[in-house]
This record gives sequence, structure tokens and C-alpha cells, in this order.
Amino acid sequence: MKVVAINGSPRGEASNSRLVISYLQERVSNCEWTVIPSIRNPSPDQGMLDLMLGADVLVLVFPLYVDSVPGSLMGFLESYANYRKNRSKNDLRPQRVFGFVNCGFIEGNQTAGALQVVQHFCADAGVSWVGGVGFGSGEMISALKNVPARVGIRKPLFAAVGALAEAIANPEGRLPENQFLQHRLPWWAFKFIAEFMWRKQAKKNGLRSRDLFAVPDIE
Amino acid sequence: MYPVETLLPIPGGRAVPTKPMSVVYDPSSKAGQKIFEEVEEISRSLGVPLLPVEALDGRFRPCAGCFSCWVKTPGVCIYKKDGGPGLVRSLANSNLILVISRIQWGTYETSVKTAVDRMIPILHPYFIRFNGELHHRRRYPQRPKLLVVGFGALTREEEQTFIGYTESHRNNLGWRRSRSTFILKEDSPSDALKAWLSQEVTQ
Repeated sequence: MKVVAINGSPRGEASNSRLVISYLQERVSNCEWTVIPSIRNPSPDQGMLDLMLGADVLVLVFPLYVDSVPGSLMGFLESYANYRKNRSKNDLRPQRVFGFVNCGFIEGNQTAGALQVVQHFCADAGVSWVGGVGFGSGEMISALKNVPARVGIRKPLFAAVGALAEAIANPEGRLPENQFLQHRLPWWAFKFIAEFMWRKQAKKNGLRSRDLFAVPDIE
Repeated sequence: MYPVETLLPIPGGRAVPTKPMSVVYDPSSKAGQKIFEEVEEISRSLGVPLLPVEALDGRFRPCAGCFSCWVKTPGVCIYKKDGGPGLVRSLANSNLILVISRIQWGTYETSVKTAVDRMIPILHPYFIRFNGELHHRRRYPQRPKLLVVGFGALTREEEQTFIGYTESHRNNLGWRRSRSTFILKEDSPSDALKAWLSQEVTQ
């Protein structure tokens, strides 16, 4: 079974989305995987379109951008949908599409609209939507990568990855419904940690905490 | 100062009464351009100046997800030579933001969404809790009102997703109004857009 995983993050190899794809690859070893490593350019080349067309399974993994699918990935998927529409039916094979959206807020269910967008894309492109995962606190996926998977805070991530991997590996597999999860910690702890991390990054860039409040461009 | 060419003449030569309305749209789409022209006419009659932001395909580089606009040069994007800085400047100085977009799978069309992704410098990396969810704080003091005109959905379900999506986008900007999304259909009455926009702008 051919699986093409699309990393919809412009951050490429360093992204949380790429790490999720790696976790899936580790768990689904009976399939032939190809990873499109990053979507920076919204126009895929012919080779990429043919690669996607020949897949039995597409796995779209991307970050939530302004509550939805990133613009570059929208363009990429639009090209693919149009490519399929212009092919004869004999060239098209059944294709299952899974989604995994990670968002910077703690609530995984803030990605519900983005998964609906992928579902509508599938209907338009003539491929089968077979379910997705919306995962909150996405920035922590990489930040906690050295913490063992069995540790409580990471359990929801690996529960979601496990369910997705099982569905991908089964030729008829699908998720019964979309899953919305996040790392196991209360919202106030997430807020505290995330804001601390922003200050740490600002300090690394030579800024003070109050510099984060700059309001340029007011006329 | 706002570029003079973006200000519409006010009937009777009155002074500009309010901050302008930023309008994000893709002029390469025939329907989008037609709606923009209608909005231009309605705004003129209401005395609201417009700041058009043309989201032409390729005019905005896709957001790189680098967060420089939050932790390196707060409020300023790394891409300075495309439409991004102008977009942020117009949003920072508007109380009204109007997005005109074809409904593509329940969200903004590619060109408009690519521009909208570049709005994040107007947000602050810190969080606030709003309606039981975390959202980013606003960087600028005003609470912009986000109005949206969507058209061209393929299905009723796409329209429903679009309404939900624009509501999320509105929450993101710190403004919540449930009736500020207008779906323009082929069979919409000819004055429907005018009635809706007039009500939203004057409220």
C-alpha cells in the first residue's frame, strides 16, 4: 500500500507536523511511505501531483493557520483537486485521506473547522475522507520529544497517533469520528509555560519582555 | 497618513468622519471584483473611506511560521517587500475589516487565505481566555469588527463551515458578532448586500 504524507508546515524538517509523520511511519511499517517534506510553494510540480495521484492513502499533517488550513497548502490541494478533475476516470484509483491538524492553542477542538475544510476538499477532489485528529498544544509536540511516550502528559498524542496508524495500516481502515485531543495539562499551566517560552525566545533575540508589546504602524 | 488615492470622495466635501474600512479581496476574480465595486459604491454613500488590500495570487508570500513577528521584531513580519506590511498597517488603523472571498471548501479562497495568514503581526503571542477557549491577545487597542462576504460555495455544507470559520476568525481578532457574515448567492435580492453592509457599518 502506497502512503503519501504531506507535511503542510513551511517549517519543514524542524516542524511539529514532520515529527507526527515520523511517529506514524514508525508505527505503520507494512506500507511504502513517501513524505512531501514541506509546503512552502502553493504550486506543486508535475512529479508531486503524479506521486499523490498514485497513492492509496494521503495523510495531510499541518499546523492551524488563522483557524484553518494554511494558504500555501490550500493552493497545493487546489492544484491537486484540479489535476484529478482533468484526468480520465480510468487514471483514478480509490484514495483514502486522513488529516492531522496541530494548533498552538491548548484546545484540540479549535481545529474542527480545519478538518471540515479537508473533508470538503475530499468531496470536491473525488477522494474518500476517512477521518482526522485535531491536536491542541501543538508546539509542545517537539518541545517534549525527549520525554518518553509513556509519560502521562504525552499519552493523548500517542493515543491519537496509534489510532491513526492502525486505520492507515488497514486497507479499509477509517477513524469512526474525528478525535480532538491535547497534551494532558490544565489550560492555565499551558498558558504559563507557553508565555514563558515566548519570553525566553524574545530574550534570545535580544528583546525584553515589554518589547513584545510593541505597536508599530499606528497612524 | 492614508494614501490619498485610497480615500473616496465624501459627498458634500465633509471631512473623513471615521477610520477607514480595510477591504481584503482578490480582484482577479470577476465575482470578487464586482462585489468590491458594489461595496465601493455603498461605502461612498455611507461616507466610509476604503483601504483596499488586493490579495492577488502571488502578491503575498505565504507565512513562514517563524514567529519573528512575535518574538524578534514584534508587530513586523520578516517579509517586507510584498503586500504584508501594507496589510498590517491598514488593519492596525481600521475599525472595520471586510473580507470578500469565494468560499473554497468552507474557508477563504487560496489567495485571500494566504493574505489573511499574514495578519498575525496584529496579534500578541500571549493568551487570553475567551468563551472558554484560549486566544491570542490583541496587539493594538481597537477591537476591529470583522465583516465577511462569501460567495460561490459548492454545497450548503461548505456555507455552514464558512460561517463557523469566519466566527472563529472573528474570535481570533477579539470581536464576536454572529451576524457579520453575509453569503451572497446568485438568487440574492439585488439590494441585499447594500442592506446588510449599511446596517453593519452604521451599528
